[in-house]
Amino acid sequence: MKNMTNQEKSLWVVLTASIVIYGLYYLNVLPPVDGNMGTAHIWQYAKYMGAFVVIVIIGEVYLALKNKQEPVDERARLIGLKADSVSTYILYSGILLAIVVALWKPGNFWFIHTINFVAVLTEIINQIQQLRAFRKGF
Amino acid sequence: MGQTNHITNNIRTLRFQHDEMTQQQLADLVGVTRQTINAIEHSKYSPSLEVAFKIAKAFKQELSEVFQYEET
Repeated sequence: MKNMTNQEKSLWVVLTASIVIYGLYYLNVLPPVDGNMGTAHIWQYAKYMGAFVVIVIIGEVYLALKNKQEPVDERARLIGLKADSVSTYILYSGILLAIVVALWKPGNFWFIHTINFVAVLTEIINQIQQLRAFRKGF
Repeated sequence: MGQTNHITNNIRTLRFQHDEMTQQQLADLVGVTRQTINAIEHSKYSPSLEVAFKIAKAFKQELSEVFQYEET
């Protein structure tokens, strides 16, 4: 932790929260159902999203209090841009997949969860790429 | 084809010659993080011209005395 920039620490907070919260959500929501998302599903989803936001805010506040302020410099911005350029392809592919799912599966449950899963996966891959670039260079 | 371009630098030596300036001190002068200075020093990251000039200015040197471009 000592050798990391604030940006890296922040990435670790979001990555950990994403894996834990979305992992728990998907474990909870399985097995999937055909048809539309019911009120219970929507509340469950909102509950997990709320938990995700709260964990990230607590993590960021803790980091802000614990660490000295430092600039987000050109290297950090380049690392972010490079990760974005790769994860955009994953996101577009996922959107196509969700469209195919929507054509084959009745209701909105599968479509919403495919889109959501792809968005989460894209973010996780993006964060891993950035963390790797911060360590290994590029 | 098959050519690798490489930018090397003398930042470590120049820091030593400037009263053992720390990476953090140089980073504060340049406006980047200490980790970025470390990455530049170990040739893991080639800085923008602006940051390169700021580093040279921090050591009161010409750019070419801090950074060298090598074709291998």
